[in-house]
Amino acid sequence: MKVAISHWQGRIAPVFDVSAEALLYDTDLSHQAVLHLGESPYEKINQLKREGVDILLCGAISRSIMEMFASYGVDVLPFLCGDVGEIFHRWRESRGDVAEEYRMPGCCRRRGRGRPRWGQRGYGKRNE
Amino acid sequence: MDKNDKNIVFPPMGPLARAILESISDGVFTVDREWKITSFNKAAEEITGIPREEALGKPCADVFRSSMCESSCALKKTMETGHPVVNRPCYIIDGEGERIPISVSTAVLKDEKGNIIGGAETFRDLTEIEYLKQELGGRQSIGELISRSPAMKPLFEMLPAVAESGGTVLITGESGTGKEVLARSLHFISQQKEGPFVTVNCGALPDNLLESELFGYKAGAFTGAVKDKPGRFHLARGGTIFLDEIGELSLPMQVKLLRVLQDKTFEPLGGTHTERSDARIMAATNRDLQADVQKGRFREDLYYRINVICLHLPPLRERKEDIPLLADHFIRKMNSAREKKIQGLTPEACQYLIDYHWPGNIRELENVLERAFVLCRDELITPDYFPGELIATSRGKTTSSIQNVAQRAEESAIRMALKENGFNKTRAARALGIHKSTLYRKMQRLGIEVDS
Repeated sequence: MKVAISHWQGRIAPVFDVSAEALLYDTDLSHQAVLHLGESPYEKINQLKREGVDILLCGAISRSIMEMFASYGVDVLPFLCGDVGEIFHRWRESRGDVAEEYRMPGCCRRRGRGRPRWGQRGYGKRNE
Repeated sequence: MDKNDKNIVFPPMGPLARAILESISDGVFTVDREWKITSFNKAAEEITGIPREEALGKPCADVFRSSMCESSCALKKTMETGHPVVNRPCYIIDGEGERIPISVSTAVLKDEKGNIIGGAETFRDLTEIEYLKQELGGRQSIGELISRSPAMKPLFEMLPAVAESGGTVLITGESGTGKEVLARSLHFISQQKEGPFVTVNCGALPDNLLESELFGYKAGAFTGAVKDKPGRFHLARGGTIFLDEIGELSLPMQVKLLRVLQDKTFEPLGGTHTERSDARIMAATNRDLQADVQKGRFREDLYYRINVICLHLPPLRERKEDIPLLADHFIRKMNSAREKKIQGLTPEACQYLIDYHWPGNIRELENVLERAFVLCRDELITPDYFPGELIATSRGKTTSSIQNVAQRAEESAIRMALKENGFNKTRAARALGIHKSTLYRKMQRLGIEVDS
């Protein structure tokens, strides 16, 4: 499984829409690379798709871009903040989720069970 | 002072300065030299949607999340050069993923000895201004008629000239495409806009009633006519009369109407004097009048009299890019009429609306949204509130994803259980191992008729 983390100065980039760089990891830690992202959201999505990324961990992201990712089949865990390495390891250990302390201020928290809300994994996918 | 005052960690300042900062409409925050937020005023909370207690002490980029943070931070530039930045436009992203356009200004904070202790950033919400700009640029709108579809572009280009001309207009289009809305919009940009806009549905009344409705009557004209009643042509003087469903007129009524169109005169029932009408005539039909002329159902002379300027409204299925715009328009209208605060549609609900073929056009869209609006208890309308027929038809158009396969299996199981239990829903629900209300909801979503 391939993970991309939008990156800026050792931390998660505050806004994915304008972020210039992503770190690519394999979950088995066999491979790590730096990807310079294009300017437009379409370029960014296509680059990550071409790299075979399954999930993107990022900071703030526009709803429309997140929905585009969903339609391309790339999962997004948005509104994260903090040290990139720390977050990746926490995410890896917790099997797909990240603790509240790494959520950006004022951003969606998990509220019970049910349909994923905006900002949670799986948002935007048709689920009946 | 509110109870949260203890959380405010403003840099040293008097109570007056603090009160001023809290009362202004611009967002203001300050940072220390480590880029940690040290104060966050009320307007900043409102614009960003971030509570002050969550913002304080955090790195400013994680709180503010502007498009400038990474590559061209205005505050960093000001701290480095000492020069303020004024009204630089950018956007921030709120917790809901919405881009909020703002303008940013910055300044350096110094202590009494002139040492830099941090920076201050003020920002102004430009959402309203951007919305107005977009309204003026992106979408076409005349009166109540709104669109961003290329299919409507030629129509929008013609409208100002048509309105100015004052000529008779024939509006064609399928039922529910907004023919009356177009007529009304034309009226309100025409020279007759100060006059009344009077509507008559020619298909709704039998001939004798329609005649008295159009031309009026005098007292004693028939039993029960105790006093004069002005007709719609009289009421429309100085304005516009809109004759809807003109294709439904009988041949005798067509003759009477032809006279008004030719001579601009009419006689009320039982009257002895001819009245003049200066009302502009607009007519509408969903029929093919030319075909009706050939079949002898519609008078050729009347057809040419009303078909001076013909405007055709395309069906909604040919202008699907307008569906989100129209849905937003109707939801706003219903919010203000019913004092609710529904934000809009979920992406999947929007997709269902786009996939549907809309035989009833915009009127059907409005009805579907009104139903969903009434039933919806959340902030966003989901497909759960749409009628089963719409869901079933839209679903049929989507690809056979795993969800669709699952849905078909679910539908088949429900139909089978209903049939095996004599269409008794309580027993069918029990057989399926689900609650009765869940069965009802699923039946509604899947378009399974209750009495099937």
